[in-house]
Amino acid sequence: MRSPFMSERASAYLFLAPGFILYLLMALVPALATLAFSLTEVDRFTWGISFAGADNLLFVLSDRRFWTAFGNTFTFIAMAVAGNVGLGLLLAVLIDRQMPRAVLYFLRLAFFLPVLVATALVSLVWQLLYSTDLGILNYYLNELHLPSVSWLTNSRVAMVSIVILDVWKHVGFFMIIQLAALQGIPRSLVEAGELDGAGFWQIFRYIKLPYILPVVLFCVTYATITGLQVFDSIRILTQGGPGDATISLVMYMYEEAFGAQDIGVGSAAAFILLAAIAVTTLVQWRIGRRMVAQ
Amino acid sequence: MAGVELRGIRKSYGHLQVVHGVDLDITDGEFIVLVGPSGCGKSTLLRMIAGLESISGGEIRIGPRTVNDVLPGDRDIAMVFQNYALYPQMTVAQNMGFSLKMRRVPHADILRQVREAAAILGLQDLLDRYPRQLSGGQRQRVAMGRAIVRNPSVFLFDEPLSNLDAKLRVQTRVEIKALHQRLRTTTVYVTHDQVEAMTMADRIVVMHDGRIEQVGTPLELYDRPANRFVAGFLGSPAMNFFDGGLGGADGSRFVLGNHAIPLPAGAERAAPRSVVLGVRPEHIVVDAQGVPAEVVVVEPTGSETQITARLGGQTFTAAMHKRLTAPPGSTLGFRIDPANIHLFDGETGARIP
Repeated sequence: MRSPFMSERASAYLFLAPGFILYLLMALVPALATLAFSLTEVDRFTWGISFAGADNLLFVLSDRRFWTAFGNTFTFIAMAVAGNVGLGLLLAVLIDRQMPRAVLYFLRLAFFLPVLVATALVSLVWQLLYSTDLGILNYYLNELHLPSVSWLTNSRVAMVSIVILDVWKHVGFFMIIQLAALQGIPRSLVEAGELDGAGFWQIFRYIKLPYILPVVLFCVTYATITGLQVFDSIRILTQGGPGDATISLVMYMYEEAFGAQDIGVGSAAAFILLAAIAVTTLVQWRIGRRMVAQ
Repeated sequence: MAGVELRGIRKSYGHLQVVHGVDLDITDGEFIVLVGPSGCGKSTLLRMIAGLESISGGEIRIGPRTVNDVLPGDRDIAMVFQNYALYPQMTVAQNMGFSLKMRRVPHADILRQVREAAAILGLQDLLDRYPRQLSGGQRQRVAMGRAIVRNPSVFLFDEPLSNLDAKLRVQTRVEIKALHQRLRTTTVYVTHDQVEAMTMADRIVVMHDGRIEQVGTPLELYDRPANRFVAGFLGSPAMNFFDGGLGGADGSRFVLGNHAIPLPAGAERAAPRSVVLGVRPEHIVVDAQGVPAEVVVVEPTGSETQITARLGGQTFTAAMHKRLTAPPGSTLGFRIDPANIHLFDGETGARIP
């Protein structure tokens, strides 16, 4: 049927427009600008722009500091994804049972609350907790007659400290998603498992986990993408140190673009990050599809 | 194989009691159907036998064992669920073999037992498929295959046909009955469909509001219902009920308005003030000499004709194996066969012998 005012197609575009314009201004244009910047060199004194071709990209790829940041980021991802998704699943399994509604709501809220607080604020608090001399963590270690740990100043421990904060902050999110998936499993499937003689672990291993696997894989992908973008917690806790022990890809990009004020190099790093996200997502999606199909 | 004994089974959720002290003996090899309207407690009772619901009181015995505190997986029972509850990420063969795998049966034996069960149900060609690749009827058979593969003492069926279309339901009904005649495994079958109950059961248990109303063979229940509820629940079209009183010095007549129907002699009748007369539609015949009643609607079903008519403000249905047409509003004579009437107490609904 024809609308009296405008065609269906035109009104569809009209409804899409607000969202699309925002996306255009906030995401697409900056992304294309980044691509353009990565091919140029800006003179910081005269603001003169000259075409640099692949120079910026080659500079980044030959920068040892970039590869340190690259390695750090993937180390962080490996630990943070395992911690967030794994611990989130464990918590979800523990909470997914008969309990008074009030207790369930309390637990869900308790684990989810850190997700709602800004990372920068959380990081400032954890900086105090992690303090070598004044921090509460070392206070309790000493009470137990254990030696103090240099949480943020020991290059072998610092990344672990950042992961602990990250998991503390985000595990509730992954718990809620996986809990929802667990609670969506038809009750009769679990009952059929009980009648078939499967115990708690076997029901989880053979019935529940395969059922929620797509959601778990979504969590892995999502945690990986956010992990590739890790920045604020590191910036506040260690500033990438000690040395470059905790510098991440986004920090490298930030330092090149706004610290060294080399927009071209920073943009090239941003593009490599984008490519890394795209490749990682694609690989995980492929693996996930194969696993789910089986 | 084993019988099942229920002694004083009760179930409460908080203060709400839904099953009130059920006693039932199911003998070894018997096919028992629990039937009743929704919310009567039949599924709860089945789930308590399965161990999926705890019992609030009483004792459940399967064979020689009291199983009150035995886990579902250790009760030696198998259950077919209404939605089949097949594991979506396992093939048909894996679904059927899962219980054996959980019991650490060697792989070769699992394979053999699955093949045997598949052969009984004609599932050989479907063993490598996933549940999502099967039709509703095929899923239903796989669910049965999963139940028979480990040769349990008792089968439990929870409305297994309600997700099938009418034609497939009839066909599967016959298959389940044939399977029982072949395997002779004690079976407890829950349905709200009285036709399924009548056609499949060795004995029917009619439940209502968490209590057993009557237990008996299908024809016992049909011919001598213990109360008005059972009488109205079994049979389609349902039994007609007329509210009236007993007349005559010895209570030998049923009085309905201006009409009196003689009751068969010989029966003891301490006349209650009000009684309900029940008569099945097939026991009302059209007879020009009978009581005149106004025709409301005539429904030909092909094999029989059903006539709904009104008498003294009460409607009733007559069914007969002959073809007949009558315009609505016309008057036909009806006669009740006195040998086939049922009398119930007007207050308690209990059968008056």
